[in-house]
Amino acid sequence: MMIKKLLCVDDDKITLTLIKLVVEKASFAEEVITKMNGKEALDYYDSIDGSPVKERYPELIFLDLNMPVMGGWDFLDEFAKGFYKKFSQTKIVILSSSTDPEERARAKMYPMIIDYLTKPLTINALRSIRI
Amino acid sequence: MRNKASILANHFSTTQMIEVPVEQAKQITSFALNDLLIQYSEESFLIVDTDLVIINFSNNFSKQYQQYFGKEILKGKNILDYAPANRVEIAKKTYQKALQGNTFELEIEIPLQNGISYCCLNKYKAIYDNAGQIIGVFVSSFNITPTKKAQQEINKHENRYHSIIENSIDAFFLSNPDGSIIEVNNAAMNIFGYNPEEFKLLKHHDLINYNDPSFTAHLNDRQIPDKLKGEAMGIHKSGNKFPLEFSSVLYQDINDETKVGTFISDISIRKNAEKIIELSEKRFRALIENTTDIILLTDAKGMILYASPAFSRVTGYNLDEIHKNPQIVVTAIHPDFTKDVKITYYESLANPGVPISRLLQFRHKSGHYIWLEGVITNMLDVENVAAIVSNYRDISRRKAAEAQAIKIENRFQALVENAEDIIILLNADGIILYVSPSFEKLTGFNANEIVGGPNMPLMHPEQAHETKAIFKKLLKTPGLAIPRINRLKHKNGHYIWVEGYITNLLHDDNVQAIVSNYHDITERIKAAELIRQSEINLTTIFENTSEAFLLMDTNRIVKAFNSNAKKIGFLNRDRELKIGYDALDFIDDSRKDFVKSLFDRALGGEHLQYDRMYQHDNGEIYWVDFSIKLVVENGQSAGLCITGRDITARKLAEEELTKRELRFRSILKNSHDMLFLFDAEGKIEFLSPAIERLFGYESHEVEIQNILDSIHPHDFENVMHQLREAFHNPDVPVSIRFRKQKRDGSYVWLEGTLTNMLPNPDINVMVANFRDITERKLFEEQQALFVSIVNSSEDAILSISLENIILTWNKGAEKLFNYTAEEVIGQNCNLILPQDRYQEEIEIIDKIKKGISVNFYETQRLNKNGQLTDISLIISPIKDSNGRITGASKIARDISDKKKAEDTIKNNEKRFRSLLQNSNDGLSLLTVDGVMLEISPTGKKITGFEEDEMIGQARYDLIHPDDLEHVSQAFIDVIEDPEKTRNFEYRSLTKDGTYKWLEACCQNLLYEPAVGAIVINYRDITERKNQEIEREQLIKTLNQNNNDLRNFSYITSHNLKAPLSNLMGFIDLLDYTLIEDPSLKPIIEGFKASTILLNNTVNDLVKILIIRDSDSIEQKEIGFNNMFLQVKGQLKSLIEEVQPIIELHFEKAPQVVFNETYLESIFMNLLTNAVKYRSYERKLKIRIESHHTDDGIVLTFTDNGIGFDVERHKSKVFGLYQRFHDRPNSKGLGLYLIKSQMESLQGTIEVDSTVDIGTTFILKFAPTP
Repeated sequence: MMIKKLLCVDDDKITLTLIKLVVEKASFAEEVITKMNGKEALDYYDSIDGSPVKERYPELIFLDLNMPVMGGWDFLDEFAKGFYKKFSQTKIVILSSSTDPEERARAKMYPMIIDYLTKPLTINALRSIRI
Repeated sequence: MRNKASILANHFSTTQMIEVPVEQAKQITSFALNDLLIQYSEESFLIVDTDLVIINFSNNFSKQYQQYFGKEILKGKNILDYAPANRVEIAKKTYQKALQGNTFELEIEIPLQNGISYCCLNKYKAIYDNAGQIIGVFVSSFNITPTKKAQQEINKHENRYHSIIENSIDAFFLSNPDGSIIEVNNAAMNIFGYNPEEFKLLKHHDLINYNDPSFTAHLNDRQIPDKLKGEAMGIHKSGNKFPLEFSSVLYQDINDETKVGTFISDISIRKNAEKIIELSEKRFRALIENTTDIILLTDAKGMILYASPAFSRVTGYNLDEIHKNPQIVVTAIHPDFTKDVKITYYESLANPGVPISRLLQFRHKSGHYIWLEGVITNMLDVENVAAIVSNYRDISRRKAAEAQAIKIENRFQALVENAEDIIILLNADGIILYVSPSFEKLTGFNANEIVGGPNMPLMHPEQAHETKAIFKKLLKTPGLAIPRINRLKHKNGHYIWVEGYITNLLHDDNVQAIVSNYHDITERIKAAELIRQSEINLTTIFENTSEAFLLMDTNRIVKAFNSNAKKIGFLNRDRELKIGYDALDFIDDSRKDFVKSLFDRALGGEHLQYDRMYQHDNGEIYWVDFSIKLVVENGQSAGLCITGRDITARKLAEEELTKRELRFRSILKNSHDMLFLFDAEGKIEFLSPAIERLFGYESHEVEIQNILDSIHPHDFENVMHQLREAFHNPDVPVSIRFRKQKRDGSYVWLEGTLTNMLPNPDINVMVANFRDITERKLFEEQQALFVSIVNSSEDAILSISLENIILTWNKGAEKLFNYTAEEVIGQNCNLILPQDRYQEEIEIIDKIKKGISVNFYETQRLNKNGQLTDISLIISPIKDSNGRITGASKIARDISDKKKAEDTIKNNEKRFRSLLQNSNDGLSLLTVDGVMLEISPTGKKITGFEEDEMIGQARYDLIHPDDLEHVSQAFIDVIEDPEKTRNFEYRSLTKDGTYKWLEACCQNLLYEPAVGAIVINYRDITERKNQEIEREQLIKTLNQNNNDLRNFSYITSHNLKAPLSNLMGFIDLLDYTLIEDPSLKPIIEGFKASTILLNNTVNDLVKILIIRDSDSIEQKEIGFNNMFLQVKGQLKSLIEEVQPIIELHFEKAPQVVFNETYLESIFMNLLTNAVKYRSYERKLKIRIESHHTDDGIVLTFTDNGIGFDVERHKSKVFGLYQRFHDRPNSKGLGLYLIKSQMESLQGTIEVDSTVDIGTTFILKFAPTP
């Protein structure tokens, strides 16, 4: 099943390029939006707030954890509260280079996180995501 | 009516008696009546025939006719001939009516010549014959003239009274005994407001308030049972009540029924007027009776006309005594004031209306004199007063006996009692037509005496004079009623006041008179006159008195005040006083609460008196003496009476006096002289403040009661002697000097004089005037003491002038220098100076000139024998009283013996010194300021400095700046607490410019007489210290390096990881990409393999770093069995391929507290290692077991693999990337990881292995805390 819109948040442009290529190759999403950190992602959500077209909301986010300005965890905390709750249908996949089991454990605390993938993103990994 | 009825009854009874039976009637028809019968009949009757000819008549008839008409009735004559000419026709018709068969009655009145009428009641009846034919008329006549006359008379009177009543201004009620009203007059309707119909539904108690106590009093007090009169409260239809006067009489009417007649006059207007005057009088009376001031009215000769009640209160004389003997007042005046009283009296006579002040002493009835201050005003010319008015106030302010409540005499209350209404009728000329019976009762004149006479002589000439005008007015207007107060003459010559109305009822036919209707008001008029007079008198007095008065009721509503109240500025001068307002309205807001509390207290019965200061607009101050007193009327509080008097003059005088007194006090207070005033027995009456200051007493009354108290026992006799002398010589000052004990027990020398002023009546005390001479005494004593001390001293004490000339020379000096005083005084002091010490002496003198003392200066001087003597000198400047230095005192002590002793000590000291010099530790003695007193040779050796570079100096500069603080602190610590010993290390600069580390011990021996210094022991620890520092430095560097390394590897691994994972991603993508150029394939494969290798290495490194980095690793209880099965599951394909035999023995210790991830990783590595390094020649066998030891849980993992040479590889077995075999996927990381993970949680791992036999790993987990 192909999703309509995917938001990728990562501070590394090459990583973002890679994700785009993999997504494209796997025909995973029709549209990929990229943001460089959590703050940019939140701003993006502010900009689409109130949009009548529900379809424009990303259905899935690939989220890196270690980012400057606003990291993945801070983004998740902001996203879990306030008006972002209205996007609670949005599902999130952590895409991190960290293999720290504590971080994995932490990710389980967020109900919207459906998977925790270790970089790099591969086509197999992408296909394993159960939305 | 009753009369008439009885007449008729008689008539008919007579008629019946003479009624003739039918048989007899036949005879009558023939008129053959028995004459005899007729003659004897008592009846009066007449018989005529049809021609009206008189047939017969009775004797009575004939007699009556003869009596009234003077004619004789004759038989045979026509009856009409006897009728008066004007009545013939009527008579004819009457008879004809009867002849027609009618029987009827007729009342006939025939006027006679003399003005009176003849009245008769006739009955006409036809006479029938036997055939029934009318043959004549029988007329029976009854003479009713007297009855009629009486009746007419009655009617005439009744009408007259009725008319009077109808026209009366007073209300009249006719009622039944039960009070129900039958009839009322117009005035009743006006007064009560009801119409006649409404009245008939009412009873007396609807109109008069029966609950009114005065009414019930009337009811109870009435003397005559059928009569009641008095005053009561009326009730108007509207419900309003009004005062009325009533008189009520019970009588029998003509029908013998009991009726009540009541007259009522509305007296509200009169009552109100009376009340106003009475109230006003009461107020002024209350004011005058309640004022604390005496008001005296005297005539021109000084005889007392009136004395206010205050006079009795203040002087003790009652008013009766004064009235009986007015001379009392004159004789009671103190002789000293009689002259002044006379002068002011004449002054007053000469100045009418001018208030003249008086001050006098007046002997109270009980004998003592009281002070009266007052004002006398000549008001002889003032109408209504006609007296000299004096106001006095008791200013001696003695506590007067409690004011007694004054019962106000209610002598004005009496009103006229029992005066019944009188009625006088006059004609237009003033001739008395009628007087009612009460007139006689009132005036003593009998009606017979005065009816028909003129009314004027019965009045007071003044009223008679008025009467003319009233009459004139009355005559002009018929029906006019004029209210009037009149004075009627009593028969015995005095006059009676009456009040009522005169009404012209001449036009009224029934009255035809002028009606005067009066009540006796003589008593009331008298009373009112008295009150009026009194009120005028009092008003005049109040307006002319110098006092201010104000009266208020219990609700503080101002009721009255006089003009002075305004002038003095009662309550508040800013607002004008007004009657009817709350007195508090005139009070400043700021004072309202206070004044209200005063009023409340006064209303509670307290008599308040106070002085208050005011300030005029022009800034002048004036004082008012206020008195607030409860006014009691009829035993009840009626309000407050405030009086005020301007006492500015007195107050200012008092103030002046107070000022002078204060000045005197102040002078006394600040005087250093002490003044004792005491009586003949020595009892203190006054002590000046200086005494209190000197003796330290707070309350002299308690502490010094007698002049002889606390006198020094040695001086007592002397003081007594001087006292006696003073007693015997009045007014002569006697000198005295003695000691008196202070509060603190010490004695004070007092010197002064005693003066007996007891005989002086104004002073009447002993006066003692002292000065504190303690210091002088002390000085004298000290002087004496000094002389004796100097003389008895073993020291040589001498004094010299600045020129070095010897001035004094004591015995000690004589002994030391062998010179006598005589020999040296006046000589130069160089006499005893060795030649080599001249300079020294010059320096000493220089110091002295500058005011500097020289203490314990050890030197040598020559004695008379030329021998040198060791002395210690103390030289001090001598100053004169102005502080100028005039010379020097020298105290010299022979210290030759001391010097010898010192030598001995010096020897001892050498011994100790040598001991110290041989010590290994350095030793320094320092003063409290850190100045070095001594340093041991070792000390010098350590520091490299010589003594002269150290001794006498505070070498803080030698201490390393970084150590200065703690060294100083140690120094301070021991100074503060001599018991303490402080050890410290510091760096000390040595002579060669380097620092040496010293370990020092600091001790305070300042108070140790033999040492007297801060002692510091120290040794050189530079070498040890340097080693320590080196080691610390090394550890520090190592730590630093370690940290740097960790940071480096961390950053490296992380920074590597990101691009590496990207590379991995791209390589992965290549699998999904078609590569057309076949030559690229090996390149890409190589690129892929290298990247994967790099990625694995980096991942390994990261794993290690994570273990190293984790400061706190979560630990929990983990079951070995479960964990192993989980790991086995993860390695499923591997296990399935190798099929090892695995034995698990976790029974002894099934669980361990450890990190789950680590344990998983450990099992994973151990298991993969076992598989990896298995022997291909035998089936892999693995045995894992756990058990408890004292040091925690131990897990052993044994396999039957290829093993390795423990001895050879032991040091490398757990190293990173250490491999001993060439098996695939072996990279030498697993064991390193296990070791790291175990050690990070305080565990250990050991290994035992034999080549080709197998390997055992022993993992020891740290015991659970």
